[in-house]
Order: sequence, then structure tokens, then C-alpha cells
Amino acid sequence: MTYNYEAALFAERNRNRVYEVVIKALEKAAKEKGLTRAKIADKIGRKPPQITAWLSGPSNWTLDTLSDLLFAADSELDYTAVAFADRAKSNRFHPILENPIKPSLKWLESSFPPLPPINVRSDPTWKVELEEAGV
Amino acid sequence: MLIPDAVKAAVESGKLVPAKPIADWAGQPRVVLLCEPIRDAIDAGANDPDEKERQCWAKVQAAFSTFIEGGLITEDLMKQLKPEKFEHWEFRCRKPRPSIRVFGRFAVPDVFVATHPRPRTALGGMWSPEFEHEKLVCEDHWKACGLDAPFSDPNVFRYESYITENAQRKVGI
Repeated sequence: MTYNYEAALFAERNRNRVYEVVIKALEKAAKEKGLTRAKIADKIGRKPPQITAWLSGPSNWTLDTLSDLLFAADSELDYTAVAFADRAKSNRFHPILENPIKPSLKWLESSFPPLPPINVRSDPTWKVELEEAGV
Repeated sequence: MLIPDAVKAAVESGKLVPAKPIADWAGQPRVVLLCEPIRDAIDAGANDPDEKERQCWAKVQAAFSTFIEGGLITEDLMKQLKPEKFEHWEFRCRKPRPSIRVFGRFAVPDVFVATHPRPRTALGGMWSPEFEHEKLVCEDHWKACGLDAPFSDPNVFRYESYITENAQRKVGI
């Protein structure tokens, strides 16, 4: 049994969404109550570098991380599951494209037209030249 | 040719393909346009037999989707490379390892053209020959799409000029 790529996509999407919610809660607490990274570390009993690592991205977050950071901000999440089909569809899209991109989990099924090769710089041979020149 | 027209022409010719957001209900206030190398890399990565490799590329695609859907963007995810005046940017997908960097440039505010990926381990440190080389490769792909000068916010390079909503250079805490 292999982990489905589309499931991985949704997992990453959820991580990024949760990250945004938590960061905004922390920023609000920083603005209103003077919360700092040092105070977060002190409140939840972690070292400051750990807090900095967490704030740089949600890759290593667990449910406990989520709880700890929100606890530091005197906050909690509300939990509501919404079926995909019940989601209101946004009609907002960037005007540079004529139409919104048809969103799909079937990204991988798209077939791209073959393109002629382009001339890009190959291996950085100038690096070798520099070395040979003793630079 | 004006850059919005050049972008449209590149999309119509298939040189640039808009990345799709993951969720079909989300808005698309921003756009990511993919050059062939990054499209091929995602296609290959998503079909890799190694689960860890697939998760790495899911992370890249999810990062694009976050951008497209208008999610919070900071330098931890998207960073302008120095010197800023040359307008090279990178998407930073750091974990799970191996960390992947996707190079690209802004065509106009909120429209990012992703050119090609490189594993971070192949890039060396800041100002390394390898890193500088990839900036030039990024320019080659950009030009091959028929695009002229990238968007710039000269002299000040305000983060919010490139990503106009829900973006800040640093986390505010």
C-alpha cells in the first residue's frame, strides 16, 4: 500500500492553512499583549530556538505543537468539518488569465504539449575555468 | 510586447502552464505559471516510487497552491535573492528533506513564473558559483518563454509590492 499523492497534497495544504491561523493568532497576541518568542518559550517550557524553528514553517508541527503555540497566545481553534461539496466556491481570480484555472486534484493527468529544446546554460564550466586559472 | 500580453502569449503557446490550486472551491487571487522544467520535475516526483520523494514534491505543489489561493506568504516560503535588482526569487520547500528550491521571477505583482527546481544541497552557500549559475539558468528559461523585463520595485524592493495581499517579509513576532 502506498501513500496517495493527492492525500499528501491535502495534508500539506492543511498544514499551510493551520500555520497561517496560528501565526495570525500569535501576531495578534504580540500586538495586543506584548507576546514575544521568549515568552512563548517560557510559557510552554521549550527552548527559544525551538520556537523559532516552529515559526519558520509548519513542516515539523504535530497536533501538540499546534496546541502549545495557541496556548501561548491564550487561544484555541474551533473545529468544524465541512464536506468539499458544501464549500462555497470563490469566483475571485487574478485578471491576467482569461478564466480561473480549473482546479483539480487531477493535476497529474494533464498532458503538456512538447516544446522545442531551449539553450540554457549547462554545467558551470566557468567555475572549472576559474579553478584552472587558480582563482 | 507588454508583459501581460507576453504572459498570455506564452500561456497560449504552452510555454507556460498555470499551476492548479489543490482545492476547487478556493479563490485564485494570485497565479503561478510553470516553465517546462518545473512541470516535468513535479510530474516525475509525484510518480516516484519512493514515498518520501513524493511527499517532497507534494510540498512543492502545496506551496504553489498556498500562493495561488492567497495564503500567508513570508520569506520562509518565498524569498527574493540578492542582489534584488536582478529579480530572482526562490520558493523554499525545506522539509521533508531533501530541501528543494524553485527559482523564478514575478511577471507582474501576484503573478510568479516558476522556472526550475534544484535541490538545496546542490547549491552551496550564498554567492556560491552554483547558486549564481542557477540564477542565470532562471533567466534563460524566462527569456525562452518570450518574457522581457520582470516586475521590479526598484530601489526599495518592498515585499508587499510583489505580493500585494497577505504577505510580509517576516513573521510579526
